[in-house]
Amino acid sequence: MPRLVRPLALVAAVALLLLDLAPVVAQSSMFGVRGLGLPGRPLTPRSRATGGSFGLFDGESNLNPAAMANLRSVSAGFVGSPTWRSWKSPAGDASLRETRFPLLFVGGPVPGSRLGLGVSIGSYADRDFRLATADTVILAGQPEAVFDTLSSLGGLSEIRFAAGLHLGDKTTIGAGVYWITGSSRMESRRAFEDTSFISFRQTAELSYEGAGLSVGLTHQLSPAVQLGLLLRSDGKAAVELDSAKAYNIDLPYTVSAGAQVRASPRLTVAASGLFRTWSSANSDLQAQGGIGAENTLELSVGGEFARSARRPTAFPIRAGLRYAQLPFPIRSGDQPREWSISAGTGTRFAQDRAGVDVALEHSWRSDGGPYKERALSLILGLSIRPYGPGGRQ
Amino acid sequence: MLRTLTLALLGAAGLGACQEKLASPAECPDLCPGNYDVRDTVLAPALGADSSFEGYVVAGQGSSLRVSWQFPASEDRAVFRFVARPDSFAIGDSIYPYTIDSVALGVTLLARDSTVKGLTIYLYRMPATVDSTVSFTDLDTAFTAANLVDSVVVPDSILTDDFQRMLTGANLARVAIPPGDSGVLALGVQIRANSGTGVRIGGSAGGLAAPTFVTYIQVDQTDTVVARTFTRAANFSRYVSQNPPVFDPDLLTVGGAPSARTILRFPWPDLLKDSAQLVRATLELIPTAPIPGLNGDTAFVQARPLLADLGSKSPASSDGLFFSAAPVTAGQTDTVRLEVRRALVLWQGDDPLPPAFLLQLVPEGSSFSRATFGSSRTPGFVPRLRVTYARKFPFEAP
Repeated sequence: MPRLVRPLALVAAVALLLLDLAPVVAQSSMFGVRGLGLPGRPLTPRSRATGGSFGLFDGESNLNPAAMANLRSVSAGFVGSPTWRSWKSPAGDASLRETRFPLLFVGGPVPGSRLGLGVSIGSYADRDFRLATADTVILAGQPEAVFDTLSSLGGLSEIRFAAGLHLGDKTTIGAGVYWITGSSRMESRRAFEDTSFISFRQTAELSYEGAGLSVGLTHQLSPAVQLGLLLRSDGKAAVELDSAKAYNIDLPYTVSAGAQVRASPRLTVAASGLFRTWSSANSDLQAQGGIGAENTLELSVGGEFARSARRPTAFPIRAGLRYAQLPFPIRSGDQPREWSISAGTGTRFAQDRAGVDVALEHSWRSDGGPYKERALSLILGLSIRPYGPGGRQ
Repeated sequence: MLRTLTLALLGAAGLGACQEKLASPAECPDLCPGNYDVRDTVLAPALGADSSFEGYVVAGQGSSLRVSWQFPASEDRAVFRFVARPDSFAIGDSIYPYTIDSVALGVTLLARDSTVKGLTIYLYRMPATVDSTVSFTDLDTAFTAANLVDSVVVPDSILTDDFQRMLTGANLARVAIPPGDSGVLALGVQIRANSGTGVRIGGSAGGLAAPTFVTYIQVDQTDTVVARTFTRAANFSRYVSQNPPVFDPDLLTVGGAPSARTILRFPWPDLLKDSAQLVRATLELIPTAPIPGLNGDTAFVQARPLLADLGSKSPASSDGLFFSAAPVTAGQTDTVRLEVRRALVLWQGDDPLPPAFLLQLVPEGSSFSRATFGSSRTPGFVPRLRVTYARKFPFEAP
């Protein structure tokens, strides 16, 4: 019984932290105000800690379906991510925070087969914001000071059904089907300095729906080197305004490739690149009066150092570096970018039937002009393996 | 290590409890997806769709009576008649004669022009047969020294007050009621001041401000004398004017006696009816002449939404939430503006009220004010309904 006290205290601390932050009004990135929002990163803390470079090889992350075949036991888990961020814009600075739950997954091997199956719910794009502006408008020929607030709560999620299959000992292939869905509950308020004009409020719900397909591959090039590849197409998202069809947005194709190298029994490093054709949405967004969208490239490197070769899951040290372009500019022609550094660790307990992983990620985002943002994200993951680490294989 | 991690997470939980800003400052148009579309429009009543009607509240039916002397706005005399006083007093089943000890007469001053000094209110005895057919001349000729009952010198510092005059002894003869009058006492009111002016006094519908007639009596019973009182309320009051204004059907008139009201109909576009969010609505009425009135005695033009458009007998909303009012003062020539947004909300939706207002003056039938505004037939003075509204926010704009 005493052996359970510490793990339970740890789980309680994680839960307390998430509950503590969940009710707060969310404030996502300023670079998620336009377009569909800030693209989500439905990765496990292990992959986030390595800058995302482990994502193509991580069966619990919502990226490469081929990696499902590498799951050695049935596992389920969720990821919560409180983020503290500071904005710098011409209108002023702000310190904000939000809590997202970017990933929920269940998956594992099919007993007696070389197949791995999984279902996951992940964040596709995050569009939470509340913006306050002040202006002067002319009404009845007179200048009137106005104070506006525009808020959005919600975003897009993806529900993935994926399968991975071992082809021999070195290669896995996989395919995934995505249902992309979500909504943004939006509200605008305008207040007038002259109280003869009544403040008004309007609300609407934007809902999105689309579908996507992905295929993936992992290949053990040598005992130390593994390659990963992903191709994905997300088709179109149908946008409805208060249940009435509004327009469609072309969603991007995704191509990603990476390599993972086991440099020593205790050290694994990886590098990956990901390219998304977000410019396919450009004309659709501009047709609705938006700024538009641009293709994005993401590059990441990272590694994991096992402090114990005998128990590599016991508090390994993970670190990563990531560069990414963001698809939805605030100002036309100024594509925002971000740099991130990350680190993390984790452990398994209860005879390796449960695990906690933690990553800390610091990001710098800028559009090269007056809009800048720094964000500190704590990525917390809880996972369980009810049949043990090697069970039900 | 596990303990360290637990402590670190608990520390982070504590940090998370801190409050931070809930909204971010932003600058348009960079961080303003969509845009507010707030517009102004000015509506004028359709030609001939605005009209005034007279005869709603006659003089004396209002809450107060006008009395004036050498007053440019109006020359008015007031009269009221009390409920008959019995000629005996009943105690139990017995009827007893009584003798009058004293009489108290009360009037309430409700409004005066504080800039005019030396105000005196005079009470005159009027014929007990006075009724609604009485004319200004009838009353004016009754204001003779022989009929004077009493007077009240109003201190210059007093704006409103109750005044009571007690008549005793020989002065009781001034209010003695001959048998032929069946116990009915009628009084007329006139004023004098250092210069021409007017006042408003409580009438029979004035509630606590109504005139009072109290008779203090002594009842002779067989073995004792008891003191009793008769309190009589006014059951008729009226004021008459020397030169009532002529009603002009081409103008929009509110006020006066008998009072005039106005029905004002506006064309109401589908855009405003169906999808606009009303931010402000101002009804503008342009006086065609300086509004007559008594200095310091503000009247109000009130606008109420019509529940049904049935012409002069159209019912209007009785819910004060949808009333709008604007003050009118003596000599005013400026445009009268009423904020009517709440009423206009009733013109929207699936089951809207007719887009029309009923305008009237408050207090009605009592005020010296009588406003005439331009109508759709009065070029340069046409009423306006200025509406500021927001169109639907383009939330779909990314």
